[in-house]
Amino acid sequence: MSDRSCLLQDLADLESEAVATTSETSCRATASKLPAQLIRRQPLRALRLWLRHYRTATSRPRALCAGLRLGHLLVFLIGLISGWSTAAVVLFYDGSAPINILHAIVILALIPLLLSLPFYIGLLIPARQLLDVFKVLTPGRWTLDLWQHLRSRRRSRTPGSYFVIPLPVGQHLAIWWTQLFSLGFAIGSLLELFYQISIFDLAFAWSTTLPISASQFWQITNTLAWPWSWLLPHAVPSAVLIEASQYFRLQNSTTQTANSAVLMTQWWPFLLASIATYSLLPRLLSILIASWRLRRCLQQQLLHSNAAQHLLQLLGSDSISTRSPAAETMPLQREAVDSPIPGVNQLPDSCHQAILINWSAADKFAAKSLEQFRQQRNLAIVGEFAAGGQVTPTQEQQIPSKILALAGDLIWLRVKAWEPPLQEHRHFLLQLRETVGRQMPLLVTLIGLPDSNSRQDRQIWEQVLGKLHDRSMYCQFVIGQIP
Amino acid sequence: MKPPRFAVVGHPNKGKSSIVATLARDNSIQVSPIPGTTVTTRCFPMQVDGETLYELYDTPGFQQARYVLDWLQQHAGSAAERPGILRQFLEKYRDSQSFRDECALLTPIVAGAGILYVVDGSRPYGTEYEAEMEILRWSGQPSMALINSTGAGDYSSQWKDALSQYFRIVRSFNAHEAPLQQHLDLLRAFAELEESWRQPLQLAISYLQQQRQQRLQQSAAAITGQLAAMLSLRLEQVIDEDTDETFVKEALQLRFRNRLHQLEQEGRQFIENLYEHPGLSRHESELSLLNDDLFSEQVWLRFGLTRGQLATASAGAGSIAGAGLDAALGGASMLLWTGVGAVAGAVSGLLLHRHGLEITPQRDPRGEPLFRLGPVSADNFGFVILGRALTHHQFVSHRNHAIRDPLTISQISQPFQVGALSQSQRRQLIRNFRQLRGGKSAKKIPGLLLDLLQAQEA
Repeated sequence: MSDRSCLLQDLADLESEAVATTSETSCRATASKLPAQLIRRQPLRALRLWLRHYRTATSRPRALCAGLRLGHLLVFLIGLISGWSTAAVVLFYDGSAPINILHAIVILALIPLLLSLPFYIGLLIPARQLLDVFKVLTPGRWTLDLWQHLRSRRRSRTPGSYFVIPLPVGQHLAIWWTQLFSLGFAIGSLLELFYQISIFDLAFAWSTTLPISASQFWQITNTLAWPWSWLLPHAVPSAVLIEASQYFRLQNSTTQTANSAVLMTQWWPFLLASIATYSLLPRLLSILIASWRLRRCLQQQLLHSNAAQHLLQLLGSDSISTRSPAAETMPLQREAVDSPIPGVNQLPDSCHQAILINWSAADKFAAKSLEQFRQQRNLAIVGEFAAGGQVTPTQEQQIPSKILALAGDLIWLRVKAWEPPLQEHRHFLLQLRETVGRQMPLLVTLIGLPDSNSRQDRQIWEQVLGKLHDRSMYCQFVIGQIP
Repeated sequence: MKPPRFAVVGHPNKGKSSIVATLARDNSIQVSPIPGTTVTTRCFPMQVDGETLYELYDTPGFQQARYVLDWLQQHAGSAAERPGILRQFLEKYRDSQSFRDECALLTPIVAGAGILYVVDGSRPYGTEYEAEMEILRWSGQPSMALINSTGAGDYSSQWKDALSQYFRIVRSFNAHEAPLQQHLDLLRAFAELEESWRQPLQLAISYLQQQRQQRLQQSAAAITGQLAAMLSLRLEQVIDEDTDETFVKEALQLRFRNRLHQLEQEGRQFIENLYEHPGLSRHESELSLLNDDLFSEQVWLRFGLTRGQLATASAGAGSIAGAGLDAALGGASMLLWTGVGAVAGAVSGLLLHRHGLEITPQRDPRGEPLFRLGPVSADNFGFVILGRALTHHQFVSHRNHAIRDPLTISQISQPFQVGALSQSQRRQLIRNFRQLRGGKSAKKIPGLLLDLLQAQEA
């Protein structure tokens, strides 16, 4: 019983959101407690062991397991009480008239036998159709419906923790519960019979409207007693007993049976053996089969559920990691630019003598437009220097002092906008200001490409240049072309 | 033996971190157009069951390459001394702020890492790169150049001419678009750099291929689970005496749709986590096909079969079921059931072309009245769910970790087309959808889906 309940709990836990969201590392850490090779050789056992470790690690409650066990107990008890009560009614005896043995056998042995037949037919026909046909007669189905109903009400209070029992499991569970109820019924009726014969004297007789003679009835009882006749010969009614215990209600039963009162109590072994053989034994067999089928269904569901397949695949596969174990160091908070760098239109009109600095041969990408601009602004080039690119640091470091020697009133730096501003740009501009002073206007022309993300390039440059807080710096952006 | 190590180096802002993010499948790496985003060298080991097969290093870009080269040239004697001089440079400036980025990027190289020099092929070549390449040559380490592309331009031929003078191997690799096969090709190229690196890198390639295959299988299983849950979904709503029936029906329909949406989202989340894209944001407006209501006309037209296709496929599925019966009767029925199955299938396909979602009155175990909704009886519903799941899978499985933009429709090279399914696939799918709808398991579905996912890969 515990194994089935736990299997269902395993299934519920496996499909729970908590397991689904458990990280791969955590899954593997739990799996490391399992014996080696188990996952490959016994996946179901590995899965269940994994779940057990997982539950221990996460202190997960086993509510479903406990609820289901309670359900099993209740179904069995209800069956037991039903069997006891039915037997109590059938075996009611106040001494006024004997108990009709035929009535007792039909109610306590033959009808239970008849009701167990659908189960065996169900082994040949798919269970679902059969359950639908005999829905009214299957207490397991009522129990399942009731349990599902109670669980669905509880779901509204604790959403997210609800596990929907898979349909095949529900079917087998209903069948199993039906067998459990019937087993309880058979045991209950047997217990009541024991109780009655132990405490009271019960007189049995047989009576029927059908034209059956005592010898015919003897044949019937002999046939019914055939299964145990070799083992319990005294539980087979004798011809004398049958002859002596036939009675008719219209006759005075007392006078009819007074001489054979002791004889009439001898029916009980036959009744007991009938209930045990035709009610209890088929149910014992059916509960074993139902139990095996339910367990197999649960195992199949567990093993073939998507969550199980995913978990087994994860645990059975190599742990591949390509990520960095260390967190990334974040760059320092970027300094906000107070105010944008003035555009070329704000360049003082007094600037006419320009000193060119061509960074990494940038001007070849916009030679024509730069020449047009120079002419428009009436700028004369009084000096020209190359920087960046293949220019050595020594040569570059001499540029500021050479500029100082020239009679210029504007420094015109041309750079490629698509290449990002680097530390060497920053160092050069700082050194330039240190040498020529902060007053001389500095025009930085950013040369973009027609097929490049010019807007973004320009923003990046303006952001970096803005951090220099150079009040005499002006910025120009031109779209160049590939020479 | 130490595993192969590779330092991804280059000019700032040329996609070094994008390449590392794609190869390491790590979207936690800061990728930004602003230079200087990467400030330290970070190691990305490729580990299998704790064993490191190779290590990638993401590094800051060169900031003052000419100054470093100038220092090296001033201190160098013969070519044999160059690696030693580089080491001296590191020892001198390691703790200073002067050449912080250069020290960070050169440290793994001096420690024996191979060099992956990254340039941007969408921008023209410039002489400012030559100092960087010269410094790397001084290290004497095995090296290769990667031409990445961050923009629309194409100057890769210029770059190839220049790079081939410094590097034996020059490869193009688009960190944003390269499929897995190109990642693996790149690893194969790494293996060519050094004989001793070949074995661990080949092992790494085979593990990555296995992992991809496993992910496809897991995806197929997950989509099957999603299909089973969505196709068999049935909800009930108890009718209270004082509640209006119309209101109860509307509430039930809303719950039904919400639950379907939730199941679909859970399925997508699983796929995103599987491909290491947790918390993927989506550009809702551009992904309307994936985010529109499951029952919208547009979604059914896009992902479902047409009435004719559905009738044909249903007829096929019905005829197979009928043929089974004929076979069981030993052919005595003269293929009668095959014909009946085909006709019944075709008729059901025509009738159940649209949603087939009806609310039916029922009673609960206590005898109280309730409304029941679902499962959706239309066969096309399975195709709609499947189409959206496969399209989403296509989005996610082909998305490189360098991409930081939200998921957009333009990122799909070939969205799932239901028309691409063969007649036989459609028939099998319809039969399996029906089994799932009835709460049964459909064992063939994962295999069918795996075929479709593998076709997507191809």
